[in-house]
Amino acid sequence: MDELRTILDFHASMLRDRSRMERFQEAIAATVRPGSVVADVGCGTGILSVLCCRAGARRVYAMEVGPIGRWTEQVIAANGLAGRVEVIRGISTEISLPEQVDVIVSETIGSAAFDEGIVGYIADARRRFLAPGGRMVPRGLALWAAPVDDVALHHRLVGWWREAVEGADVSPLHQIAARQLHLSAARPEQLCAPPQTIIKVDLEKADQPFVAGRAQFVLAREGPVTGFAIGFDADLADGVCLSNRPPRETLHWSPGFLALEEPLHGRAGDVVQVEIGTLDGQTWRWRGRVGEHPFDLDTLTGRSPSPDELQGDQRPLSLGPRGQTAAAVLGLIDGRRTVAEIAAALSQSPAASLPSAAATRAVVAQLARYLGQ
Amino acid sequence: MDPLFATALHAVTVEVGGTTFVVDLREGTSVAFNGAAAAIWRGLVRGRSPAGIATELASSFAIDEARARTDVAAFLSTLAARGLVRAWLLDPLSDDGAR
Repeated sequence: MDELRTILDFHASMLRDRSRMERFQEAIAATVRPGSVVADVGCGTGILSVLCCRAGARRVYAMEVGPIGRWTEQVIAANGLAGRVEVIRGISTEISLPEQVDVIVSETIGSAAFDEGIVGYIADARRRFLAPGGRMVPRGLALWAAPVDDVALHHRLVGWWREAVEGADVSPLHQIAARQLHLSAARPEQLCAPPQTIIKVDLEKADQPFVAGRAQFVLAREGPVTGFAIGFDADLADGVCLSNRPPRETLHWSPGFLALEEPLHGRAGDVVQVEIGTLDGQTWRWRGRVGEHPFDLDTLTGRSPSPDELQGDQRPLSLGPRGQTAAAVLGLIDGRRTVAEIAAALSQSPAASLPSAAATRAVVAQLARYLGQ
Repeated sequence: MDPLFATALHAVTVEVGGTTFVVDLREGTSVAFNGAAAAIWRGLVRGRSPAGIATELASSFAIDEARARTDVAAFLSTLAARGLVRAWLLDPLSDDGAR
């Protein structure tokens, strides 16, 4: 239930954000033509699909992989659009559409622009779904950044891991906490220089998921630099933009925060240089200098990857206990056995390599959800 | 002036179990460095010049400095060809110094 409540809160936050809704409505009205066919990538509740129909769309393919997709059809039906909007449960990169579309709409914009993977999703959708001359909402996405001097924010997110908790040393997690993309509202008074655009991506052309850029700031006053606030400027249509750049107009998206390992002291007039790169918003690297003090952090190190993960597709692959169980499940799926019968059969089988019947049932249930129909 | 070399932004270093992995975020690939290759890469990450790295390499691996310079230059060429390092005449964070 907690997960469902979190999902509802998340979507309610988006739907209540007047700036978000008004900008997307304006952009869709300017882009979707009567008779248009639309792909809504990551449709969530289906609200943008409804707006597309109001703008005259003849057909909308609304794709959603997240749990909210269980209710999207009901939202569409409640708006009398079941005949025009086809809701497809799944991730857009694994979906084929029966026709090309005139417009791609996607609100997979993250607080830090790219952290919902929009570049990869849109590039794939553009290549496979969009008709020549087709249009997109959004058309472009930029990342802004600004140095932050808020020591209390840094302490709350990173620094306090150096403190003992009930006498126990938890400091090994300090370096992990410093290497995360934190989502935390940046207020104008926390910034020690005005935000600058650091990365610009043309979503109508971009096909590389790694994007990067750099900026240089001059400190107006002496004090600490504790990290960088980052966020997005979205170009939705001609004259229609949406941004969480402070002072932000949108309520839903808090800016992100890329911390420094320790606050670095800068003097008035010091130059702060930063390069930021991200692999589709999933892995981030930020490095540069505050005056003469260098920094270099990344979220890959922050995940503490194993050697196996780092070797990627170059490592020999063998099945672990879950994989052995999964292979046995695949052999038992015949279109007649139920999920319970497969789990029961597997529990009695030497192929069940997990330590308990409950663990086996859990793997079977997961596979049934993921692979079954 | 000899160029300096900076690791590329998309080349992320991860040290695990005594092995230096360099993950190329742009290509989605990784390479594992051991021994002298790892020492050269770590020198680059610390901002050492090729000459400084060669001096450290000669000392650590008991080889003469001329050979170390040749090895470092060859390895840097390989890294540059794979796009994992960039050569700079001035400042790695300045566009002015890009070669």
